[in-house]
Amino acid sequence: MLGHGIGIYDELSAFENLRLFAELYNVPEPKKAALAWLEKTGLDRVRDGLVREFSRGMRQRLAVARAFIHEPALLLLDEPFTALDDRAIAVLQQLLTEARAAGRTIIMSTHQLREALELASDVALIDRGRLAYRGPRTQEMVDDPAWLYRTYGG
Amino acid sequence: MAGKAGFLKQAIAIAGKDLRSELRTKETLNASVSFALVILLLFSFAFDPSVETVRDISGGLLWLAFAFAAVLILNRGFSRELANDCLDTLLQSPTSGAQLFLGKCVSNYLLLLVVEAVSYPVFCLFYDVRWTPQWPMLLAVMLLTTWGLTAVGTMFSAMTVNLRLRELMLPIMLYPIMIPLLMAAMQLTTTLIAGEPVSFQSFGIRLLVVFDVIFTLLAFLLVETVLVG
Repeated sequence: MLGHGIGIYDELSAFENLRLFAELYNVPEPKKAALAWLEKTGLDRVRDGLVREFSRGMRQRLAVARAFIHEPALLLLDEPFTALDDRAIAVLQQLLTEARAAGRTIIMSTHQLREALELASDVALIDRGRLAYRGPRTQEMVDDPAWLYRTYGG
Repeated sequence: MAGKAGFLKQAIAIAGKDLRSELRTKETLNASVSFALVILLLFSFAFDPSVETVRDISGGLLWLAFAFAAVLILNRGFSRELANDCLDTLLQSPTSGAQLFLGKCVSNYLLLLVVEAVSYPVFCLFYDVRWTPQWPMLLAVMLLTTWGLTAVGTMFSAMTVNLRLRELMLPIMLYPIMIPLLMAAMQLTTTLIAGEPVSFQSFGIRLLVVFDVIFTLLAFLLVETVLVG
């Protein structure tokens, strides 16, 4: 799960954070897993740096690695693209694409339709607390994300 | 056997994480040691350390200082998880409340022992307490009392973590429960500092053991409900 709180410790290094969560999730070889995910998220060069010294984008990338490290079957993501820099968005999109290809279920709530629609197989639009649309994603939505709002929004 | 090993492994991971964070900043440790030393200093002004009767209340002075200083460490136990919503993240992981409690308890226990190890020589200096031949039993009393204080304090730290006035609520809830433990520890410590022997079969030691066992078991049973609801 990846929510608004990033769920990582400021006083630990990036590596220590990932190894901790790998151990808590009973990941085999937690050290190896932590190093692999640091590399995947482009944080391997700052692996021993304390999180409190990281930029916001780096913290978000580490949070993404933390959420993915145990390779969950179901991923719940709440506004995962918020406050991400371009690099972090690219990393997250890549990881989500890989997770989907591996058969994992991803449920994501977001206001950033462009990024989400590129990845989605099914879409639900909630407008003022009402389910305005639910169905498969179409190419029309990807080409013009505002189309969904124009067609089904209030 | 593998289950027990897994249980301990995750608890150790939590304890290691807390100790690593604390040793990196030393925020709570410095505050707690300083507080204990200031209390001992103030008590030394209040009582004339040369008077023989002071030695009669030495156990009380020592454990009051430790109990006050302990609250600073215990309060931080769960509240350190509030930043970045780390407590929610931990509770979403397969780590059980009991593992979380044990990990926090162990780290708090070790930190409290450090505070006591630093404060005790200063106490001896201020109150002219000589080396006691009863030091192994005094050490046992310290270990047992500190565990009781830590187990109950860590549990209450979990209960108060989401309260706005948690710094106030923890001591208000903790000290009344600690009365039997602290009374026994004060009496035993005074006796041992005076150089008189205490048997492992004595009422005071048995009370410490029973208190530790009961409250540790209660905490293990209740902590999941306290944290998750």
